[in-house]
Amino acid sequence: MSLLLSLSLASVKTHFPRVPADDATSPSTYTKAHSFDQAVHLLRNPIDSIYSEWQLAHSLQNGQLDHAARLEIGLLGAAGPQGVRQKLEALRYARNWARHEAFWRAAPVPVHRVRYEDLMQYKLPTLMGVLAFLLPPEQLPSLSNVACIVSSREMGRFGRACVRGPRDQETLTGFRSPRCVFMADGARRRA
Amino acid sequence: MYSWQTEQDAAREAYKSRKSPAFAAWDKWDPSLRVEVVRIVKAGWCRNGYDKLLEASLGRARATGVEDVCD
Repeated sequence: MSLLLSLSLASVKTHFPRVPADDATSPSTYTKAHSFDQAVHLLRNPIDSIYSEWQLAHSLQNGQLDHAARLEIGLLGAAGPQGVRQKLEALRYARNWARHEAFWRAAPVPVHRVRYEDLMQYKLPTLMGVLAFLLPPEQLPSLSNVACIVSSREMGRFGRACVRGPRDQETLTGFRSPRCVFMADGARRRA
Repeated sequence: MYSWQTEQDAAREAYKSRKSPAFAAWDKWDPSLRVEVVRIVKAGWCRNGYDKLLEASLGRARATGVEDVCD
């Protein structure tokens, strides 16, 4: 997954390229077509990400993807007719993972690569690294406020209480998605 | 032309629904398929240090079948 930044549009989250059909677009064409200046590339190990992708693809609920669903299937790709189908699908996802990784490796814009596992285990330093890549030094929020936001997210609340000044407000506004706004409002209602 | 919608239902939020440790799905794969997958993604696997992360996550003593893929 990548977070792409451009001057005309604050940020775009994308899974591109996700399928072979996307191969017609080169990294150069893609970034130029959208005037992207830089990208944060979030990468998860293929064993967990492909397993998760397989579960997601097979967990349609009322026509919608259910990110939280988990099907009990035994070992993915084990012997048997179902296992053969699972294997073919997993191998296809593996080729997509390799293609996606190589695409962003070749992107002609500055790319800050983040492993999902590091983001989950070392939130504060990883997030500070992302912010340092995206923002000029004078716009960086203070370490204490980012730490406050990280800890409040871990407690299930958005870091609204951590906002102390215009710079923090600007940073939060720039990077939170509509979903985050919803989450913040939801947390406030529950509080 | 691209178009997209933002998911507004917090219950369907991706990535945050679980906080699994790295390689939590390791034991949910058929071992031979797992090896085949790692060989396909070998370049990115090695470039991004997933060989070392796997070793750190599962323990050096555990046989994975892909110990030598980055050699």
